[in-house]
Amino acid sequence: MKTPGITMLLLAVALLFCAAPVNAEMRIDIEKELRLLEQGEPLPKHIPFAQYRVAVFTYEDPDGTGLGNDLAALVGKHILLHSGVVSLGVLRYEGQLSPNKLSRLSYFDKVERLIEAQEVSLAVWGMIRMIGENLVIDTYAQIPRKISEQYFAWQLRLPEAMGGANLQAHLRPDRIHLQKLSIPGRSQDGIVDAAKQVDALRENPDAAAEVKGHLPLGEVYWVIGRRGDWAEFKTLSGLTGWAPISGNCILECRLLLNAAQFAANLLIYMQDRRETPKVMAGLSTDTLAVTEQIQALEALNGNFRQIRKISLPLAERWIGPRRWKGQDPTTKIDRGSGVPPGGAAFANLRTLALMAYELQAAFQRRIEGAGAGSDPRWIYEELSIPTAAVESLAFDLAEASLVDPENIDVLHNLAVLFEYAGQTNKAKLARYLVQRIHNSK
Amino acid sequence: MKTTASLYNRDNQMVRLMCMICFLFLLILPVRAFTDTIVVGQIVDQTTRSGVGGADIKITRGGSTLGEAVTRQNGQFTVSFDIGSSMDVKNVTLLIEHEDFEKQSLFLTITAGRPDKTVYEVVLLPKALSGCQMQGEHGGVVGYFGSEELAYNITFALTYSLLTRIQALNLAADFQPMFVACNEARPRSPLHWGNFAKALGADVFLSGNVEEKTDEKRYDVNIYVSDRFGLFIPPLHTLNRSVNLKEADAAKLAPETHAAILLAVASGFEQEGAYAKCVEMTVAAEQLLQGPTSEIQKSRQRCQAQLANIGLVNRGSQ
Repeated sequence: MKTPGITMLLLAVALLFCAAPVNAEMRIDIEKELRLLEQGEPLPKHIPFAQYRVAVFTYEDPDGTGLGNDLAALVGKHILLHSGVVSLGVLRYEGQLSPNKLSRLSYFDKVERLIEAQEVSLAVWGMIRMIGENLVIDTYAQIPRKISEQYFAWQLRLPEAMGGANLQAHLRPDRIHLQKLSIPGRSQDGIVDAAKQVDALRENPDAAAEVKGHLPLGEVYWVIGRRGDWAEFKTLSGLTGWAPISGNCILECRLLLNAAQFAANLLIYMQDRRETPKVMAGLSTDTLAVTEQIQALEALNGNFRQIRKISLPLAERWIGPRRWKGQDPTTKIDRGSGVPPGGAAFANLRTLALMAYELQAAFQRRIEGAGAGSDPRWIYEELSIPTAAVESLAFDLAEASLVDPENIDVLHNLAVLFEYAGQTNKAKLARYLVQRIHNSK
Repeated sequence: MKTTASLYNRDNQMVRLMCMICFLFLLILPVRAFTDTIVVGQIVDQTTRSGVGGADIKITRGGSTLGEAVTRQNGQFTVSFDIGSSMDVKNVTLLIEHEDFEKQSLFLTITAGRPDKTVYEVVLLPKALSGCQMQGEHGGVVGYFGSEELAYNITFALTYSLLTRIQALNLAADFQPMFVACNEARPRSPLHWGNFAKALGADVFLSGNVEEKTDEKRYDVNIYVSDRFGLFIPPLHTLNRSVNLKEADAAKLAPETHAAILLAVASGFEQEGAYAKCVEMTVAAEQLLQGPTSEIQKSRQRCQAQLANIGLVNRGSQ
């Protein structure tokens, strides 16, 4: 039974967290968490008071470079200090993600298991290999299903005159390869040094100041202040001290932080949907696809001119006869030439954009012609697009479904569009396929 | 006009003919009843397709041995046995044992003393490979490379590069390919690579060798990839020049090789009718190469044609 003293203390701590923005970090053992999950034990929610929580995993290090934790430390700290999110908790997972004899779960799937249980907003993990004289570092991000539904899902409701059903889209891919970074092996010492710097707590915001201790494993700590490139931390046990924000992570080490910044951008977008993620040179095809997809889907909320100028051209950069191939002229990222990241997601986006454009344009015409006092809601509900045009769009989308046959958004939208177009058998087939996929999961 | 004598002569001839037929029938009947059933066959090594000599062959029924033989040098054998005089259909078991191979058995149907096949071919799996067989999963076996560490490194690199690509497509864990290292799987000839894939139930089979360079710490690594569908004849070859066996360099495979491996896995899905998974594998292969190839497109088109989604595409039909 809790004593009144403990209750008061918990209340005070809760009030402290409610009153101030929280930026905290905590280190967690992967295997320990997985064991608890396998035993069916309830997992304690780490840093529960933070509005957004990110899981950063130790980079896999099969060649024994010793950099796995250092890279995770740098990425975790960068997200914590650069995301600009008011209330953020970073969970630093330590352990291996590669498959082993005990479990076939690995990489994205293993991360998924842990982050679904912890209900975090985003996970970042990676792999480091020693290839010849170079360090090759892959960094990945993944968005849990719940978060995808909450922050990365879009709907277009058709007017009542067209049946009133919703067309839908989700961000794809939601398992994102952020970066493949190849840097000279000599950068190793710089990374280790930079990671040590960000974990060492100094008396003052000065590289020459005395080290008072290090950020602890398995314990929460907070950012309680900032001064220039320095942040002041406080641990649960009461230790305080200063650590650099960018610190010694310069030159090649700095490039790694572009991947961390992209992850931070995704969080910023979750907090305030007005700021879509920005892609930086040296990131992967996936990041370019994700960035342009979010921009295009966000523009669907605008007027028909925005849809025509932003959503449609962005979708058509990835599909159809006008698909952009090879190196992107602005970002220098390779766009590839075949099926884009996300499979049929861009074809689905194009369908939504064309439907939204037709509806918005028709709405604009009706509004301009309507007398004063007309209710815009009713004007929208009375709109309809000719069935032949919708049927043609549906067939285009059906073609795209052949490269991504189990894409639920695409099949759902096909059911809606075919139904409206009078192709009832095809609508029925699309619905059956959706149901079959749900049943198989 | 018929005379009595001529009639007598004709009846006599008929009786003699009947007696002769009866005699011949009696002559044949015991011979048929007591002739041995003969089973002929050949025992073959599953990995090399060459005959296995010295294998013990037994025909058993209901716990008792009916006949025995030992295979000749070329793996051929003949067993004769007496299964009784009945004209019924009977089942017997053909048992094969050899100290270097896994035991094998086969059910034979004998109808009126005749086996259901003229020649039986039975394949045996070398005992050394029994722990390396895939258990119905898709994926591959990484065989002998001269260095166990290298085989392990190749397995790790393959698993990582392909699984991350495939998992990014949200493919359920049950459908994800797996790769296992099996140092005992050592083909002696490039012709045998595909046999190893078939024998181990693997979509793909990788094996190779290392050649020491003048500098003692550097090696050239030859990697050969084959499959159980006959896609890679001769096996695909990757050469990693002048590498340290302990480093990731030695185990690296070109994106083209990764894509080829995924194509073989796609063929495995195609063969079992999992056409959506087949399409997804071809998409993963294409994304690895940052663009399509004619092989990828052909494989995808075959699987797409079998998808239920194809019913959504045809503009002419309702």
